[in-house]
Amino acid sequence: MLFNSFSFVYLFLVTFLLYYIPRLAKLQVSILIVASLIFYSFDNVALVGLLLFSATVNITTSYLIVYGKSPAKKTIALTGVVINLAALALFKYGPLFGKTFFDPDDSIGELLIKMPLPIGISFFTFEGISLVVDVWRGKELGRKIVALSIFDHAKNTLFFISFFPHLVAGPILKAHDFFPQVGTKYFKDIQWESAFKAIVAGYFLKMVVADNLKDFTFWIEYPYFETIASATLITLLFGYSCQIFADFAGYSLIAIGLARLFGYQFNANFNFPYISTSFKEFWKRWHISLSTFLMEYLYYPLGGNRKGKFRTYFNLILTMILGGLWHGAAWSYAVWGFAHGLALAVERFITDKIQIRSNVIINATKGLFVFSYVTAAWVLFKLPDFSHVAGYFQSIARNFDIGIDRSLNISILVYSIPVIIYHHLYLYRESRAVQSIRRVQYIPYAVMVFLILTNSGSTGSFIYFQF
Amino acid sequence: MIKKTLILAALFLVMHALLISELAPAYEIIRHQWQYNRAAAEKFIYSERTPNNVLVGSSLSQRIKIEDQEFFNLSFSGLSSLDGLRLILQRETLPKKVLVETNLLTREEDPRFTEALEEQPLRFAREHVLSLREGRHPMDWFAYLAEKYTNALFATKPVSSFVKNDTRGGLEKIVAAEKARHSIAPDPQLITEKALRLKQYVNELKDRGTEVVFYEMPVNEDLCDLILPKTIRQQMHETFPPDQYTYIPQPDCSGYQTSDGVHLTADEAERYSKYLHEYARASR
Repeated sequence: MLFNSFSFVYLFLVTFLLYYIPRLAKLQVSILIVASLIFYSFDNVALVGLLLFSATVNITTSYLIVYGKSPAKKTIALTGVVINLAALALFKYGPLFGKTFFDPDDSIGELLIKMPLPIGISFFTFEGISLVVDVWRGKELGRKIVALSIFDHAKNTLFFISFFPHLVAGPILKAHDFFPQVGTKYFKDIQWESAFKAIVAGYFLKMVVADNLKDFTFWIEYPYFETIASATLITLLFGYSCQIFADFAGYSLIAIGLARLFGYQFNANFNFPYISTSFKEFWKRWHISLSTFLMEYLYYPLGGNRKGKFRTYFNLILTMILGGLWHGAAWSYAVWGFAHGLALAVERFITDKIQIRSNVIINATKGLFVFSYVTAAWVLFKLPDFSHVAGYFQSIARNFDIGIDRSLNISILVYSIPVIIYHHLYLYRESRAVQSIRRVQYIPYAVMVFLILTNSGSTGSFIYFQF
Repeated sequence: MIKKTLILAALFLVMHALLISELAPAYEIIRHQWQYNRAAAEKFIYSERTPNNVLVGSSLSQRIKIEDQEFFNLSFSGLSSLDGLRLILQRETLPKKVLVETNLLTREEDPRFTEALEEQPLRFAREHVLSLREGRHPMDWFAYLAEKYTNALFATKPVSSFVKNDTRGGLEKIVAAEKARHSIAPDPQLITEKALRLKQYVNELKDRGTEVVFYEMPVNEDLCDLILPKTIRQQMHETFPPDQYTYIPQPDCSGYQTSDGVHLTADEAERYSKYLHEYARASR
């Protein structure tokens, strides 16, 4: 079920109305669980089974860690994490292993290749791991997160994993952030304005920017790029960079706004990432919930930067490769992760050795370099076949004498303007001009609402649904 | 803030609706193939009068331009003839004749395309408010004006992305990719399924008094008789025997130029359109 579908609007309205009926206040969490399961099962009822299985594993292991009598808490925690990862490996990476290591005619190969990919599996698996690890790490925290009553804990955990705003494409919630919020919510406490702004901005980025850009960046695909001018190929990449940001940041904003309407706070998932002047900064601004998860639950346990320089570089690269693979079951994602890991490692090596001065020109150059590198790496998301990726860059290098398609270039640039403005408003947020825009912010929001209704592109799934 | 936003947005909507309906009701800006698909579909489903002759097909047929008000091209890029047929059958009054492209018989239907067009309350809104239909996007107008200005500034014709005289072999690679695709025999179960699906639609059209005529677009001569098109032709003749159904003969592929192996160039599409028009008018 897409956020920009009428089925979702109807489900949301019914859920919202029931949720705030005073007599049903004690059933608020249950109402959201039912709505979330309807949301998830809308396209394929069978896959709810996997969601419930994941919840059961996490409920059982986390409860046993906190209240169980067994001293083998570490083993229980490890078992919970391994089962979560095994389910992810089977459903998400089964087809990749099947294609890479088995004959497609072989019964095992065929079984693996035909594994369905449950939508949102990467997200709810990581959330389950977060719960298990959080309760294992701290006794006090464990008792704050895990209710004494197994029934209450089961309800809260199922709610944590399945809550529909974040269920299928994040943000990835951490147990220690979410569980303390679970409780009765009141209509009078709704933060209407901040919810409204997040939802409008989210739908605008998704429906007006991303859904329109996708119909132009279609030409990145093979074999079309072979006969497209170099400048147009670069514009296409720029457009795709804006599209992927708008698609994902848009979804996150909608999720944040919807959660606020039910009284829950999600942390920001994107913080103007394309203004970054270093790769380290980029990963503090892009998909923040994933990067903090990887840092907290993978990079630090590997040793972080505490075991010497080379081990630090290794940890960075390995974390990013696994982060890349999380995005998709194709080797191109691992390469994408490696490219970012390598950039982080090299940047760390350089900044350890050389102090680079900071001024406007140097920062702008660094920012341009980071943006260009990040944009170039996005090709691996669009073209999973490495030969096509190489072909794309070869075409950029040689197609200088092919005529530029002005229509395509201008369309991409027009639909990328909102992303450019969005980042510049943040860059110049202290300026008088931006302050005066803030005073009449209802005007840009009115323009966004108007364009959502009159300028939406053809419906496309959120890019991150495939993860 | 929320109230001010919604009131101002409503004002913008009214102004936009008035501007479109009073100043430029027939004017539309189409920037890519999906917009073209939706605009064609909307014109068809919202028109009060059903055209006498309707073409259904894929992007191959989208290039057909027949200068005759009695002909309507309901072909969709990226979709199949079955999607066009589904739209036609939703009308109360059907056309007298439907011309069905058969080149891409194995392509999957996309029910989401027609579902999105029929989804209420948007269908009602689009039917009655012209400014909500495809081709009236404010940002596309802005892009169109920017393009017009830059074209005037640089005083050169805009160039299509597909270059005619490619000396680097890029076009050859595209044709080679098509050749590879056309050399793979389709799954027998799939092609039978599609043919039966087509038969279901054709039977319904005939039951409701519509004549159905099949045609196959010419493609690059190296692709014309490969296993895929041959198998489709065979399946079509088995499901719709030529002695019981009307076929417009496919012209000799060697006499036609394509831009990428499958799509006719603009000049060739014009030539083929005349050919198709003559046969369509003659067939009874």
